[in-house]
Amino acid sequence: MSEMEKDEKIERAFERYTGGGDLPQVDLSAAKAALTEARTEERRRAEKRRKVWTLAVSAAACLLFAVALAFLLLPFGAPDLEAPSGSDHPPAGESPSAPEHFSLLSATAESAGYSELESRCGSAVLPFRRFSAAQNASAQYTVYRAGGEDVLLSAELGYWNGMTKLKATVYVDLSAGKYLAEELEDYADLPMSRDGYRYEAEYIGGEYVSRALLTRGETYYVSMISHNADALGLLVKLLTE
Amino acid sequence: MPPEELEQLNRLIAALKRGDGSALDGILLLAGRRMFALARGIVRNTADAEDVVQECFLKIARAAGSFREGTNGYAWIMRIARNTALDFLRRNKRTATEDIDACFRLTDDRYSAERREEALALEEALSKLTEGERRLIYLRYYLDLTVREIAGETGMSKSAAARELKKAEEALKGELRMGQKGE
Repeated sequence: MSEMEKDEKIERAFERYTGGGDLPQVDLSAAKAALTEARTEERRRAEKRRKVWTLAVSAAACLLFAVALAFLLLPFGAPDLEAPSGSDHPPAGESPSAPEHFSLLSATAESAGYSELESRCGSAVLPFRRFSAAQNASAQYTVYRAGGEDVLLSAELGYWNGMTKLKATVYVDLSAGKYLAEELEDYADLPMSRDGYRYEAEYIGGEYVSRALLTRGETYYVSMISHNADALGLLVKLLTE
Repeated sequence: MPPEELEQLNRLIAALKRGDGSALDGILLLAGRRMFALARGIVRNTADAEDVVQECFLKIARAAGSFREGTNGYAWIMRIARNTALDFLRRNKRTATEDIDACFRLTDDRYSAERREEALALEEALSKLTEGERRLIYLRYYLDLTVREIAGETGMSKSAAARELKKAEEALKGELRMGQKGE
């Protein structure tokens, strides 16, 4: 079925309706700075991908060379080795498929309460139970959908630690790796910490901007900004213990 | 959005994707009013709506790299604006639901006298539609969704969405004609 045309008369009426007021007062300098930052980050990632690709191609070329050399040398007196049975190489075509990417910005997002999430997301939501139940904590949840299914849960958490209120965002993958938000893609590049999860903290403008990627049954992407260098570690403990 | 403006907007987003920051000024001129109208409809406050639009431009700048060229840039921008406005409500502990009727009550003194008359006539005609019809008109003409996307949003089949949308359009045109006769 071809896409249905819009009704011209209604379209014109809406043009004039939504375009009728003044332009909003918007300062674009922050957006322009963000664009430059995003471009720099993009170039950094492209460079990294190029390096990984070059390494992979070099490794493949070496392997091919070794195989070719073995074929050439075997007829000239190589010992008659039987191929071991029960090889542990996966059969062709069984490599894990790459996740399908989507953007948090343009995905359908629905807010939901904790009790609804218990039935909707199963065990993925359990680590947040204490945040929803506690008097001194808050949690707001959003479920992102892609391809007609729930693929990502986001929890905006707020809780008191001593005299400081800590705020964090935790994303939980609900798609078992089938979908990946573009915004979370670079978490996989974070360095592995001694605690067994990927973690990075940067000290920016007097605050620690920390991110972590951990798998505890589900995959969790954690990000927070705090004056406390240990805040993210504390949160991970709360989520996993 | 008229086709020539949509083409221009798509070119600006493509330029933004290449790192041209001045494209943001053009996007603001072409889509800013509509983003603001949508944000104002959702957050129901002019100052908050300006904050939402400001935040939208940050997101647009950051996400330009993921924009798929050849797709509808206006719908992309409006979806960002819609999600940002709903996020704003969530952050401020207000119910994060769209009040479509509030999106159809935009007319105020920002409109020129002539436009205000037209805008009020459209609002009056929309108020006579059923809630379901208004929702379809909102998704199609406010957010610029395709019929397939509307089907996805409403849970209808694509053919049912097309049929219901056609009915809503006819009802709206009928009400607009009635309004003109009554003047």
